[in-house]
Amino acid sequence: MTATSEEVFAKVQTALIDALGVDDDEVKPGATLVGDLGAESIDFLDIVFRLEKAFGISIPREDLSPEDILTNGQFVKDGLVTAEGMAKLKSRMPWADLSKFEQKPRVQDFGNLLTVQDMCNYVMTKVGG
Amino acid sequence: MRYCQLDRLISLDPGKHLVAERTLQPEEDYLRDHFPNFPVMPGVIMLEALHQAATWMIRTGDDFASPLVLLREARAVKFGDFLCPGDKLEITVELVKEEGSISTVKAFAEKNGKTTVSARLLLEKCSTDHPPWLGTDDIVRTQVRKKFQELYGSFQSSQNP
Repeated sequence: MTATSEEVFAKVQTALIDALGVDDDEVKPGATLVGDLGAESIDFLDIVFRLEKAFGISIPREDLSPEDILTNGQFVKDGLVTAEGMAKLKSRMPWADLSKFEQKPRVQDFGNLLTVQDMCNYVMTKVGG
Repeated sequence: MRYCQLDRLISLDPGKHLVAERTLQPEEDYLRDHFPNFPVMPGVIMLEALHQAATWMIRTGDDFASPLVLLREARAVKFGDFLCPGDKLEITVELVKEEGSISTVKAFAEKNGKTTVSARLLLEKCSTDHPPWLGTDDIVRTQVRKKFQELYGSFQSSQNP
């Protein structure tokens, strides 16, 4: 199955509107899920469920929340992701724009990293658009 | 006010942000039925705590100018954990946007850092539909302001000496 980026965006947008109760004009590509759209940890299960259903895909937990990397002493030093850790994150999440995070890779900021566009990019890797 | 779901305010930025807390007391009447031998705060009461926090945040934002602040929509309501007698709920509400008379509020409550309920609430500032000669709007305004002073007045005066 292939999908155009417009189709993917429309479905991601619907999933976020329904899961977070936000308005469609708030779900812009650059909006962050946590900071701009107000997603709480409790919302992510719902978002994942809705995306899985909308696209007929399966989303393993570690795909969107690489906690195993962020809590591993090998990849984190003094609260910052090391160069090795960044390489690991990039290979795990090639669809995410990590350029801003890379400038100051504080683990505590990772949760507010993902944008609507990142989610669309992720889905595109799954549906082969 | 027996329906009051907030014990005290922790912080208040009028019209923008409010944090409050509420401890579930073992003697609260509905706990006998909800549930027998397993008393937990009903989800709708948790939601009401969010609603009341949002209402006070909005009312203080324009110094109680609107007689009524009505809940128009409760979106994306999610429940994450039980609240048992003795547990303390910390409720946070913040204004997301204001369009005309409608305020959109992000609201959530936590127990020991874990979310028990979260929602996005849409509330409308409006008046009663009583004829002006009855003076209902003024009466309601005065009563609500008085109620806020009774419930949380000490907090206000300590924040704004």
